[in-house]
Amino acid sequence: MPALLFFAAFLVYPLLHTVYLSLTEWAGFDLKKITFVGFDNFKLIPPDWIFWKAMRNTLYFVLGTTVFLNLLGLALALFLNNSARFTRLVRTLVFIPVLLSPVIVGVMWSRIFDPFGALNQILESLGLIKTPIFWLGDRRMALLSIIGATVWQWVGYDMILYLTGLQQIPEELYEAAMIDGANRWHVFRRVTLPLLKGVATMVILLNLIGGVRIFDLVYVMTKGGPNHNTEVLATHLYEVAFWFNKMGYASVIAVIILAISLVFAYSRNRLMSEEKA
Amino acid sequence: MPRRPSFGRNLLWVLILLWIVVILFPFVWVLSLSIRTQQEVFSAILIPKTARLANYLDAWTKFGFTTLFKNSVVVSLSSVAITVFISALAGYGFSKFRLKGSNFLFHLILSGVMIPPVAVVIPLFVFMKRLGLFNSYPSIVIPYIVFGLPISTFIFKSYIQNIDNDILDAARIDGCGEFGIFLRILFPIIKPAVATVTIFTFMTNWNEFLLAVIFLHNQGLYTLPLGMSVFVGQYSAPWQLIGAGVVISIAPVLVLFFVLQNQFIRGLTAGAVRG
Repeated sequence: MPALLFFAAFLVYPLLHTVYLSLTEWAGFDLKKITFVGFDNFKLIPPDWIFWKAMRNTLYFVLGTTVFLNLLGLALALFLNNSARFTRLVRTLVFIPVLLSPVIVGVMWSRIFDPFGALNQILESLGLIKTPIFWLGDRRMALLSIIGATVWQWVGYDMILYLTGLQQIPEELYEAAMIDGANRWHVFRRVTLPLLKGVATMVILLNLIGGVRIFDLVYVMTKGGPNHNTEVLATHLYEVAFWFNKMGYASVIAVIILAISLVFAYSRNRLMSEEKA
Repeated sequence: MPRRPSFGRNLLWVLILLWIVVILFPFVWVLSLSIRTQQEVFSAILIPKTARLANYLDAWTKFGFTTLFKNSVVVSLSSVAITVFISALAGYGFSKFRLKGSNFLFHLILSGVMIPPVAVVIPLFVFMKRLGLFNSYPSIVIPYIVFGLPISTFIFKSYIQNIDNDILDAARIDGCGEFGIFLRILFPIIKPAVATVTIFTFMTNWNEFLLAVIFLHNQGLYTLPLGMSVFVGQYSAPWQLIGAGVVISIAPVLVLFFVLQNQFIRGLTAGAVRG
């Protein structure tokens, strides 16, 4: 019996250790730098306007995607919460983009958002616009377009999670509310929403955590452009580290991404365990 | 559930249908793109006059899909196999044996879930360079395993916890070794968990991009997402070929999905519900 645990430990431990090492080594890497250059790397942050732009864009991206994903995901879940054949088909269709690599999604959507792409073709033939819109080349539209593509991809995921939550609500509660004469809005407001709180917390934090990591889609669709207007923390880190070879400074950005993720992850754990208690 | 008045209901239907159009349109458009001729690429049509299937052959050779698929299969399958094996074993250990510190160890593993790959990519890079693994299959297979382990171990642990000890004890009395129990008794029982973990880690690794773009610099090693991003960006490939390339790269996943729909949905959302 202990033999097995040993076996497990022997196999698991090295890998565990790699995770652990990757952390300490990263910290060590950084710490070494700190002993070398002190906090100089951190001092580079305030004057780095690209960093602040990336920070702001990441924030917009995270908030934008989280809001739209949850609203749409919940709406779809509420409506598709029955087992008719048609709704099952719709659920499947909505889920399909989740399967795709963000790179493929990026390739598809960057053609759609292209000045000569499908979106402008549609808008033009509907007579809504006269000149093509540069979706990914425009300062204001670019980030919105990326948010749009992200929502397109992940809304099925949130929908499934909300559906799981909805299906856990006992049918009797609805019946009881009906007998008490509640109308549909009341039922939603007083029964469904409060009971979905746990799921909603989980989904929202999941979206927040996922949003902070955004890299693939931005890299493929705009590479952070135009003029860093879609730069996010991860793409900035990538450029600093692997184009300009400033590993020390890039590590500072990594620390910041990690810190944000840990705050979200920590609050997620706190909220989830409160929910269970 | 109470019914809404029919007007609101119809409105909802319209909105839902609209969303289905939004979801499906990119697929339909790319499919249409993939069979167009060069001249038709920028025209606002959905059904081209003739279906140019030769685009698929062109795209296949131009993007080098044979290599891309081979690399993606090698990388994904090997990382998934190792992840499943190790995490099943670990899940067994953590759920059925109590040893000092095992609880702490488990939480340590689980906390790995919180770490975004992008935050540790620099030390990993240094690490791989030092080991001389940079620009090779292991340079991404190892991180894939490491990042896959926390959630997989968690899934296996929760699953194995609910298995009755009597079955395992019976085998023990019959003189079955611990490893034998694991392989012959436990493995068949935990097949659903194996399916979940396999699908989850497979899809994650199959679609992974960040580590691939950092560690693989050799065209012969490119995985599918990396190859697509590089070739689409580099050669400003003609749109009809990009369309065909997209169709080629998503077709296998879609086929798998339609065969194993429920397992896929369960597998892909498994990552969300960990405690």
